[in-house]
Amino acid sequence: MTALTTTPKARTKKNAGVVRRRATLRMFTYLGLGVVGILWILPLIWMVLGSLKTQAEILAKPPTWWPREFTLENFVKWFQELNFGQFFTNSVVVAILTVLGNIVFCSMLGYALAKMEFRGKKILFGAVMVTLMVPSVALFVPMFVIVSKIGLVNTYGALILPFLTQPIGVFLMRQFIMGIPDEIIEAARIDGAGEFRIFSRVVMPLCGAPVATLSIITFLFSWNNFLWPLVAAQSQDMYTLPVALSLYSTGQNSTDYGVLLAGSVLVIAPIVILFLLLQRYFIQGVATTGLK
Amino acid sequence: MTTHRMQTIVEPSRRRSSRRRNDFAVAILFLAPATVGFVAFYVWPSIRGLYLSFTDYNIFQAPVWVGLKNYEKLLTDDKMWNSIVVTLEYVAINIVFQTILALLIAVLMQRLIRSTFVRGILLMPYLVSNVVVALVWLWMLDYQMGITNQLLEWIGLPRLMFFGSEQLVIPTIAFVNIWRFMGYTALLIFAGMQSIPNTVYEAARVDGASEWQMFRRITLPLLRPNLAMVVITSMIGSFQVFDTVSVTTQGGPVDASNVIQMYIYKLAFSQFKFGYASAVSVVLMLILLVISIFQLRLTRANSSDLV
Repeated sequence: MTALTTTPKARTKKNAGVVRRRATLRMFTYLGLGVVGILWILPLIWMVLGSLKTQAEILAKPPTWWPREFTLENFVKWFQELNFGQFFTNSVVVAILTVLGNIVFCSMLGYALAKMEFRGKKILFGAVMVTLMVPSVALFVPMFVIVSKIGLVNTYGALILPFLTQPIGVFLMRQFIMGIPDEIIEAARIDGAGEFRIFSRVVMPLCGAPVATLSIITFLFSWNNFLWPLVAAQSQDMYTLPVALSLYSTGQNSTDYGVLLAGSVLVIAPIVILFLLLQRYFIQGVATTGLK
Repeated sequence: MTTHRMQTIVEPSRRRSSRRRNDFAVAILFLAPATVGFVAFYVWPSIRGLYLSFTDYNIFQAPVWVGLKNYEKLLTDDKMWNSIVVTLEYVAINIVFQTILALLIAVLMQRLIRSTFVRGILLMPYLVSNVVVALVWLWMLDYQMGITNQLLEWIGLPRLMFFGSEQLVIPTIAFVNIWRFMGYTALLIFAGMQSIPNTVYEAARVDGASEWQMFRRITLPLLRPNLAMVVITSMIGSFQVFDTVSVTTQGGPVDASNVIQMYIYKLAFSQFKFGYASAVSVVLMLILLVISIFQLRLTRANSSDLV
């Protein structure tokens, strides 16, 4: 009996030591991780600071950490001389239409694959899996040949159409819709709803989470996409932001780092703002889709 | 009794499946848009690419059938073998370091801190466009004005031509992309770790296991299927590296970073050899297919020791 009462006490005493040691350990870990974390995104901070320096200061030796005089001249150049508005519009139009297309088409295909019986379903799903693993960008040469033959080169069509149904999106929607109980759909059917009504009024309203994920990964993909827009957009007025930035960097301006850094900041600003607003969805989305 | 029970179980599902049998008419409406896209932008380019790989084609005139000539040329094309070797070197460095570091970070996240803020910081580089990442590092690793070389000089070491030397260029590009993808990979591994029940660790701790033993004997074996998926997916991505190379070196110096996609791009868009470029694309597709089949087999045998 006494043994029983003393043991917990002894344990708490011992635990207190362990807890204290753990707390110190934890503090150091946080400290260490904080330092590593700052070093981790230091290149991005360095980039932002650099974009605010004059060209002379960027070339200065030894380098300055904090800009001696802040200047917006690098940014002004993008707006006044480099047609930033056009590139930005192109990127936004392409990204938004790609996202919308994916929401509609991936959900439709995902719904059919999850809740309908038809011949060839397995083959179709297999095809989705293959495209998931070997993406179409590996086919950019024949794709360019086809797109140029049908006269789509240098149009929004060329930039958008190939990416309207991302296999990862189909997979995501199918997995989620499979989890929706059949009873709900059956009930709607008994009430006399047609398939499209069931899809748009019953299934889609339940799909908020995967649609959010799908929108984020598709937007990210489209915004950062490079190889295909590089070959498909051939005149300045069709360039997306990454293409414009990269082509500016290969010309005689290759050492014009101030302008290049300002351009970089402008390219990533929308993504960072979205990320800060929707951080939880971003992390969930990225983690769930990457695993397949 | 048993028959009665069986009936009640079997009946509804049979009724449902008989109703579903003739969904085809409706299903086709749901399938049509995506399937048209799939055929137009996947199947058709694949077939077209395969056909073009047997032709001489400069995109201005009609393709001329040349049989296996392109493939014969491939076998003795030093530049193409160089591009494969360079790509393999890149993939090896990238995958090895990225996986080890990401695993380390994931363990730290699992065992020590579960803060969303840290995850956000980790994910940050992944959100930044490849082109921007490449530009920023091109600037930071610049021979003359890069901060890295100024630091090296300051601590008394010689300056390095990160993007300008044949030995350093591939490791440098690999490390730039490790920086971009490591946090992302760590998050994927971390997500996989969430499926390992905490009770296993508690039991191990009661038995007096150290952190290292727990990692070695619990985390690693239970994570194996997940880890394999992550590695293979990143591998497929790595084989197609293009953006970073395009912005930093364009394949140089002297083809030392002329990865497969860069070689294909140059063949097609600066030399207008669309036929030959298609043949190299077919080779790349084959490499990726082999890895994917490997992955499919893994997913089939994907049950971890937990299930």
